[in-house]
Amino acid sequence: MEKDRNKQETMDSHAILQRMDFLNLKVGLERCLEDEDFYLDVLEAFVEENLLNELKGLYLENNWAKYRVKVHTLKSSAAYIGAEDLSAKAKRMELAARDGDDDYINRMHYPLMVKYEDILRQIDRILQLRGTSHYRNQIEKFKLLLVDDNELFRQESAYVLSMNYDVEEAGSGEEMYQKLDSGFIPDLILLDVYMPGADGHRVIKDLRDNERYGDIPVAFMTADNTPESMAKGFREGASEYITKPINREIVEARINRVLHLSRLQKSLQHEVRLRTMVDKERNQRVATVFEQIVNALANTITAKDAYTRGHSDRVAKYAVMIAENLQYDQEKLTYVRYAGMLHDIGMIGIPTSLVNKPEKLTEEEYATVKKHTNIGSDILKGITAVPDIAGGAKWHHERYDGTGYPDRLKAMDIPEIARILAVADAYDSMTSDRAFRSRMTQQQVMNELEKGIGKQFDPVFANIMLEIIKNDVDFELREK
Amino acid sequence: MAMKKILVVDDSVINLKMAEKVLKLNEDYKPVLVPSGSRAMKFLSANVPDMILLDVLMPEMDGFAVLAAIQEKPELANVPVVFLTADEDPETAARAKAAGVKAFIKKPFAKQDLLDAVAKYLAEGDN
Repeated sequence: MEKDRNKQETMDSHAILQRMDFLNLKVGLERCLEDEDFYLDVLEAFVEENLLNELKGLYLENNWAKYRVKVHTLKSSAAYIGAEDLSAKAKRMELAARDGDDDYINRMHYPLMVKYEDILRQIDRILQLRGTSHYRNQIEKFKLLLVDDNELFRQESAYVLSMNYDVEEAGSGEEMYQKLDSGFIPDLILLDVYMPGADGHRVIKDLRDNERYGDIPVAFMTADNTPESMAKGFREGASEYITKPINREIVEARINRVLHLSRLQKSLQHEVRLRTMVDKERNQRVATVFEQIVNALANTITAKDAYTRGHSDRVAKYAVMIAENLQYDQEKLTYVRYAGMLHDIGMIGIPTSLVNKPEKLTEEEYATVKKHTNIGSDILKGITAVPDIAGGAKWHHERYDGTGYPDRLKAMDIPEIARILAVADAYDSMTSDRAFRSRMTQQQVMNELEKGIGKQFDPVFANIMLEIIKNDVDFELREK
Repeated sequence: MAMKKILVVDDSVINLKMAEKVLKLNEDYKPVLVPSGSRAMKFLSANVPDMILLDVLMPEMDGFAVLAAIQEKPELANVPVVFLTADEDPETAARAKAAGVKAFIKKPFAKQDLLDAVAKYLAEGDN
């Protein structure tokens, strides 16, 4: 009796190995010195080694150096056990990782994972035949939910399928939902088309619409394989159509195909979500660093003159308000703001005594102060990616009629940002208490702007500023 | 002949198993298996093997790093080191030779290749 039970539980090593027909057994045995038991031990080690999670993790991190090492190990291990196709694929991937071939890696990573997982599963399944005392399942089996009202068919099919899958049964659509609600989330639902009460077509429709379970792939089972029925089933979202009576090999092939696709889809969705999140975070960080650098740069003026710093912040604000009327996108508006914050940075090269001097400046002193435009432009000219920023510093004192400084540019020859800054700059000067003159009233400011249209100011921007002033009922826009 | 201790360093359990299986064919060989460079250094801080079989591509400490660490220890100066690797880059082989590695055996290795190499360099070591 004892002997018989043991015989049932385990199979001899030779027979077990023969089932692994997806491996090159000849090569594998040779490497294992013709020792079949040892070969099986090595196969167990292969399953235990399971590099899937590490590979998936390293791939998502884009860590090609470490990814390469793991793929190298896979190549080596696969070669030893006779999984030649897998080894060859791993080898190509290893070379791609070594060479930093992003394109190849991104394209072939998932197919390689699918192939690897496939082989792991197959080996794992067959190794079970060594007996549960000897070997315990390493790889989680795929889960199936079998829904059919015919009890006999259901039980027979479940028995056949449970060799390679974890199978749960349900006798109706209702029982199906009970199973799902109880927490059994299958990788695939096998659904009988014709059931009393709720027919399969309606069940699948409801399932597809269900928020929680709508993603689970469904395979229809039926003895009715009329074209109409099949077409209808596919239209309603069935991934597969399985005819009764079931042929185990064919059904497993179809099921595995659907499951592979489904897993691939989930992996891709996960990857996209992850990468989008990482990108967002990175962009956020870059934007913050940028902002902080511009602030730091603008702050250098404060040492010279507190007015200039506050002034620059306000000019930046007003310039952005003007630019918002021009359909500038978010990125461009940011650059307008930076140009505003840095337009007077050249002041740092002007003697402190002259900066914001209360008395009137002499000719010579005035000439010196005017240099802040060129000094500022020199400081900022390295910022070539956004040339307007240096341009704003250089030409914000140009006048529309060509009588400004430093280059006596006229009208449209003056870059747009400089023309905007000219208006914003003048506005802030007029609405601040200066050493040589106190703040003007809104009416006075508007008069000055109107007088300057076409002369000092670009008409378009001056008019926009006038509108802004009119809307600023409580006169908030001024130095505080 | 006294038992020859052969240290095998490889991050893959399968490779270690394979090397062990082949080495044990010779009754005089005693294979010692470690799964990483750091474990190898731990072993070497208290033992002097007769030979070291070293995998190249390993995480953390690769074959070359282990080799460099070994070469810093005067007591290991006469221990022959053989690279066992599936790395097919010709540059790696050249680099290994320059670094003083005795031989470079490709994985998956043929049983006889490994045994012949071990026998050869163990004999050299004896003389």
